[in-house]
Amino acid sequence: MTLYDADEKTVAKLVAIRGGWGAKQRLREMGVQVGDVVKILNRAPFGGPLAIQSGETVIAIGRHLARRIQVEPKK
Amino acid sequence: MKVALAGQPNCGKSTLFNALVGYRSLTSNFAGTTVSYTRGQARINGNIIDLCDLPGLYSLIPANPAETSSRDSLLEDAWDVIINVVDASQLARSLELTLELSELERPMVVCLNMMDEAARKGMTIDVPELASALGLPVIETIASRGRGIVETMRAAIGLVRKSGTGRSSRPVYPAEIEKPIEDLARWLDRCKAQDHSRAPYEPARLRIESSAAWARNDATSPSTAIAETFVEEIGLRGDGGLPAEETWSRVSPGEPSTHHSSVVLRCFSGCCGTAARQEASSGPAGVLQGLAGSDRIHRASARVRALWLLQSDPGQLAGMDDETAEQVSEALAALPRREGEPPEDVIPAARHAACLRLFEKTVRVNRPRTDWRDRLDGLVMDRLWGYVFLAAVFFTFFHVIFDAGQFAETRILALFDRLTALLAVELNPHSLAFVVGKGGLLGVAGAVGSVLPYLVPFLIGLAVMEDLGYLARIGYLMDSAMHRLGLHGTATLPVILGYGCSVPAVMATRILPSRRDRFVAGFLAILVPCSARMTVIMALVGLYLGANWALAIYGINFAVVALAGVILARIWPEISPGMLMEVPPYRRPNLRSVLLKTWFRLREFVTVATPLLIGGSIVLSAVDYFRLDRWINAGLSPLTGLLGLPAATGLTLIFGVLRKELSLLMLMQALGTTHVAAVMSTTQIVVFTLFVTFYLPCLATAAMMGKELGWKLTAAASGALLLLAIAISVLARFALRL
Repeated sequence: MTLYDADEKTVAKLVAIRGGWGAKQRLREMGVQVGDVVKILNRAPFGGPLAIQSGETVIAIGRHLARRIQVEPKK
Repeated sequence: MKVALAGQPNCGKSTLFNALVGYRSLTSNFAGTTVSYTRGQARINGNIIDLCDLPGLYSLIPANPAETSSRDSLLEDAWDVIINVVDASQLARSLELTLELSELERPMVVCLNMMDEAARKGMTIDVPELASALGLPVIETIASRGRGIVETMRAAIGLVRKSGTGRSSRPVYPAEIEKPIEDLARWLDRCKAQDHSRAPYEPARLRIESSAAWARNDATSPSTAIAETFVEEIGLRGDGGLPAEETWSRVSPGEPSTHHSSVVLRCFSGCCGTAARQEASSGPAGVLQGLAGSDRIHRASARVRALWLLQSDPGQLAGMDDETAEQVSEALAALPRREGEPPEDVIPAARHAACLRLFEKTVRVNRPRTDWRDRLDGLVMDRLWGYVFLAAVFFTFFHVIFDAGQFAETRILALFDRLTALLAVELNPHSLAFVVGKGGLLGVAGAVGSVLPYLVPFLIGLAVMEDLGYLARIGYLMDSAMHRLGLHGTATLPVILGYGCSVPAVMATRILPSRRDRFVAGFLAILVPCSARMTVIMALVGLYLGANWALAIYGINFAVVALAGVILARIWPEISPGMLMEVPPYRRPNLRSVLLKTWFRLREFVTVATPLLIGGSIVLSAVDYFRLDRWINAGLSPLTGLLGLPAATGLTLIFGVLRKELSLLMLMQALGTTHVAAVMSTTQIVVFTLFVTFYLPCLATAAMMGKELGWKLTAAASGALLLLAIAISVLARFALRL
């Protein structure tokens, strides 16, 4: 399952980030890496970005990038 | 004593800076407010301290030009102390940069800022424990309230006094990671000793040439732009090109060619090799940066370089020789990694883990105090209510600006009318001196009376929304709509600002990462009818033809903006991979910061646009005095004829370039009546208004565009607008006749 398909207000663990060095580096800079647990806060309509919370940081991730992040939903 | 403030974006470096040296550096609740250095002096306990506020950087592997300049300054400039400002409320993430910075082995103080926000989140930080784990002095501060600032500077002074002993300790990776790092570092050290004479090629020129090619849109991608530049400028054609020495002498005439040519060659191949990766992440800026980055390699210590190489920093990989490349791949292979993990992820993952461990060791998180901030995002970012809220905010915002502006405008303009009357008494109303004086006065009245009343409340409102943290959320909500126009959600702001005044709208394009985005957003922003054009639409179409006609003009404008966006996105495709943006926490705006920021931005309008307004107004008064209007109207008759407008409207269109609402005032003067509908037909009124809405940016806007985007692009945009205005007006003329 990708991050983009995850439901709002759920918690998921990032298992893989498919993407170039640049995408991973930019996520890393915002404090998001494989193995982290993030909370999906909101999703903007019409294929807009996703707001997720990782630790104390809230970041907006565009659809294309969110589709390349594999997650495992957590109960 | 020289001190640098370094830290991640939006952690309060500029706030700390301002608290020390007085307001010099723009602050807001938005990542990336500071894009250039700000310097200042402070006096603490009799010590004079030269302080520098560096642009924020997430890590020492830069992602945009502002970050690159920060990193380079940290590497190269002779700082006595680096103050690492850390957002305590986001400690785990912020520590990653702290660990990277401590690798630079320079005297460093950690300033644990925003302690109040950390407390609100229920975090209790064991500061002595953190300090001993990092091996660095750690000071708690709340920069926005001035707390802990003097203590931070005292710690910095203390470090310098101890001279040398205050060096930061190195974070230790697990031994199996340390070994490949140290091996590679030893190799690099050996290379450096051998290669002492090897100076990097001059990247500035290549950077300029290839960005020019990219901007001209000759090349299809940044890597091709660089490649083509090499081919065109240097005559380098793959293997069958010029000999290396000749290549170098063409790049940099008069420089010794021993090693440089091979460096150029390697940079070239290195750039194109990494370009594909970079294109996906940061666009042309990133590729060019990578090129420039290779230039810095030699200034960092061997260990730091080794660390960057093992994280595959494209800026480091470019321009590497074959032997080093082999050593790097050996070291990468030696890194212990999990199943399926790329080797370049090992070091960041280890650092990330170290930060999380450090966080767990030093921070206790209790139940956070919940307040308005936590509940607000549920509403503001909601997929339905978010937009309702957004619409309400904009409605209120523009209503307040319009009401406040109109209130002030009528009073200020009345004052200037009295002054003009006074001038007529003092001077002969038929003398040139009076005409020039009146022109100048009109110019001042235009700036003070017509622009400032709308601009000031607008900038105050903008500053409040910025400091509150709402702007980032607008970007989030509007992202998908803006993508259809080939822009990010972040570009919503300049376009929306365009409804108020094009000048701050163009200024706001600075928040966008690439030149292409800045141009597209700036172009769309000036297409949107600003408050001056709104006056024309309301007072001409609204008054004589009715509100529905005025609404139709807005509708046509909206369609044109959307169409222009789609077309621009087609001819100049978007290259950024989509949004990845930090959503800042809500913060209570601070009155002092809001007012000072408003003044900061206002100053740009005052210095750039006001002289133009006054000068232009004087020139136009002289035109009127020497009765040049007949010639001008005759000269413009092909245009007015094409649009089917009375010839007398020609001069009013020229006045409109000065200030858009002047075209309305001058129209009444030129026609000799305030009952425009008696002289002009419905079609003529609509065509005139449409033309005025689109035809050219006003002088103040053009000046700002020239400053922000360059004069060439400004001229191109103006030409495009003129053609667009003619096309739309002619279309309307014939459509209305049917």
